[in-house]
Amino acid sequence: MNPFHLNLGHAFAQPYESYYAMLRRCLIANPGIPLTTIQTLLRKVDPDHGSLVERISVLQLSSDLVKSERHSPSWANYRRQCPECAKYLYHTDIYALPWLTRCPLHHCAFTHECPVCHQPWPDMHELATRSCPGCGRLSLDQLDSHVLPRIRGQDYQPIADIYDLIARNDVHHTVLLLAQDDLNQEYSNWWCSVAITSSSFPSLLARHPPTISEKKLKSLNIHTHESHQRSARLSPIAHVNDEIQRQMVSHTLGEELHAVENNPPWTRMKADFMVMQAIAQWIAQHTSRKHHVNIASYRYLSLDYFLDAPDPCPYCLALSLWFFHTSARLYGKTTNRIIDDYPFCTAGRLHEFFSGCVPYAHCDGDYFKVDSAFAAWFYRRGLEISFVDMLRFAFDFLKQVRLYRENTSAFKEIPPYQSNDFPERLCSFEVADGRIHFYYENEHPLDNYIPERISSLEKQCQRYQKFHNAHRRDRNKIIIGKIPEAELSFDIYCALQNDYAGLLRNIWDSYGN
Amino acid sequence: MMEKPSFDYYDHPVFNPKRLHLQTTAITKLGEELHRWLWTGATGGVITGQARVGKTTALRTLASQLYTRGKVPIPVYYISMPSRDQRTILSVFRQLCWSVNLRTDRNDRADHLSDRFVHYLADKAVEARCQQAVLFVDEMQRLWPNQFNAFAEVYDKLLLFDIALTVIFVGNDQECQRLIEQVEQPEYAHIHGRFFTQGLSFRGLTSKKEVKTCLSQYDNLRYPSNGPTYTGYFLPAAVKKGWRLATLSGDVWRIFHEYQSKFHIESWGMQYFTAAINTLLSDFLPHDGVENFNDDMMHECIRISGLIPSLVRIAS
Repeated sequence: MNPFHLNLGHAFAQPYESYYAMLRRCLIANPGIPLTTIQTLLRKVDPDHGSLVERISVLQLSSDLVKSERHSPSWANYRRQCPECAKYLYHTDIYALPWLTRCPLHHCAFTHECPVCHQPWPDMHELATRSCPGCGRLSLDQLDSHVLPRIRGQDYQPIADIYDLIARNDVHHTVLLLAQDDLNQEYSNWWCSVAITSSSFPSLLARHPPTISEKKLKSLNIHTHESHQRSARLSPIAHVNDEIQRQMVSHTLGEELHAVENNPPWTRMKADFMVMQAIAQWIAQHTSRKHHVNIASYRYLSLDYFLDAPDPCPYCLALSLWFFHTSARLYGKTTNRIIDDYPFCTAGRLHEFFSGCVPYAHCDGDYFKVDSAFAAWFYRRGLEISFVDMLRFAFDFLKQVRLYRENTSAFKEIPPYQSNDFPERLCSFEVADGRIHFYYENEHPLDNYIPERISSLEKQCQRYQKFHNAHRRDRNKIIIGKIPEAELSFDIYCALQNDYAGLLRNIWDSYGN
Repeated sequence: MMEKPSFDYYDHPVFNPKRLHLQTTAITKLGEELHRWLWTGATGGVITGQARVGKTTALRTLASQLYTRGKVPIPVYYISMPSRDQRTILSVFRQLCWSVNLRTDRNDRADHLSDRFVHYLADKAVEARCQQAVLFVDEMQRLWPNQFNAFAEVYDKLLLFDIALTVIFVGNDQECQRLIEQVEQPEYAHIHGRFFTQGLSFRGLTSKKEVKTCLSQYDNLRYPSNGPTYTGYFLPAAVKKGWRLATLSGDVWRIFHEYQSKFHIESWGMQYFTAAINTLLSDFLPHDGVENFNDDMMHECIRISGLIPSLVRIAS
């Protein structure tokens, strides 16, 4: 096939249009030519690029390509469109964003189907064959005489404003937050920079200076939530490389055990205790007075175990996981790795737990520590989020186990547990004038989580505890700590820690140190 | 391996008439007239003239010289209608698409081809930043009246893009006359009113002055661009002594005028003129010398040019 000239539909080019819109106008400008023929031509003309739209894109006039980076160009973005824009052959990738509630140009609701032919918006292949004037490859006879004047007269500033808002996010990605005791980033962090596709994106970005007014956001049909901000003074850190090297050195369980026994980390234990106390109070608010939290070891337990066992109490399960994990972190990475041995978690697709930590900021190649007030707040928030994550997993796991008992194949079909599905993890941050500014939603992650009500929870809990005691898999010293509701004292906490230390000693002995 | 010379002697435009572009008075006047049409919003026009008079060359020369009032170059498209059995509107659209390298397939429908061509013009208008376009349709005598509707359709569709198309049909005097009379019938009023309101008769050289203008260009144009003039290329010694081809204009015109009177020739068609002069310049004068120029030499050059077919003797 000799290369023929391909029309590109320049007259219909509009600012910030998506690849989808670009393809649509190209198809309209080449009526009667099958998509496959166009693809074959472009493959010959431009073998360097890999996709159809990339090849079409490089053929555009510079004036057609405005002028900002497209966010996540994806073919899935076409599924949600403004019907008014589609009439004028316009589509832009930001229409797929969940926080954009209406078209910023026409203020009408987005739809998932064309109002003219009532079919879902066409994908690339359907676009080439559909002749609907609302969504397809319309002919010049179908083109209204006012389309082009309207295109020329359209003000795209609202679209430009939204892309500007998105572009601000790119600037802030030059700053990293790292865990002070995990500078090599071996573990997952509880904080998660808000993605453009998150409904929390504008809430967190809009607060960055210069702030965008609520009025402006409303005029752009951008939905926001309440958000908060904390700031901390940054101080440069010297000898970070030494610290990184030191963290790479692996210690034995015995070494970690002795280190803590000789120099108990009281400050950290106190911080952990306060969060555990708050958790215990929160659990008491969501369960009956007859329910008492039991801390037990769930190590080595597999999915099969839970299929045979009565339903566990998700609160006891979550707090036990949390206590064991958080306490292991007091000792070190080796202890952490040994303790976090939960086959049922892996089966339920939860592979790592979040942890509380003190942050360092990594900015332009340098490391900084934060002031102690922010550090304490950040550490506490991490612990709370860690528990909420485990509790969400516990409820999810319970549901999966019940389904699996009814139908063994159902387990494989259940979607994996998603740790990043709750907004408390989301944040954005920036460094300016020697300070870090941290933006987040929901001051208290615990308060924002509404657990399912379980009837007769205390009976369920007791039934499970009885089974657990009779069938324990952890051959090491058992820790059973019954926490009276809302009365977790530091003494009880220390007693738990003593038992925990005893468990570690047994493990150490078992390994033949 | 022999190295190719930096330029080939026979690469000279005198030996390649397609590349020989002389700016005649007629071309200048045509350019002025076309600009008048374009600037007054004419939607079409007709240019007629005798065969081989230089119409196509004039169009190709002027294609890059048309501007809007604001000095923006106007995109110009050229199509030559082939002689075909098919006398359909579809064949016109097919030819239009083919002329600009748009895909044409035997299964294409007329409306697809029509839209495809219109989108092509619309794209080019954006690239050129000009909302005007000119389409030259050469060999118009090969069209049938109904086929003009194709151009009317293109014109109408371009209005959607706010583009003003001017279609200029070009053809031979004798052969076009019948077609023009047909289009003047009431059933083609929409065609006539759109494309046939402007007209111009294109002629060749009609005076000694015009001949002198052309011969002077031989004395001024250079090949290569930094080399000798066309005259100097073939007659370096004579040019060095101050001789110029334009000095022969009086004799050249006089001798042609004899044929013009005898055979009732309206004007000296450029094809015949350049053929005669090119033969004189590249063959006779270098061989015999400029001082030996005479009437017989010029007569022979005119004979060789084919101006009067009956004078061409076929070697037995």
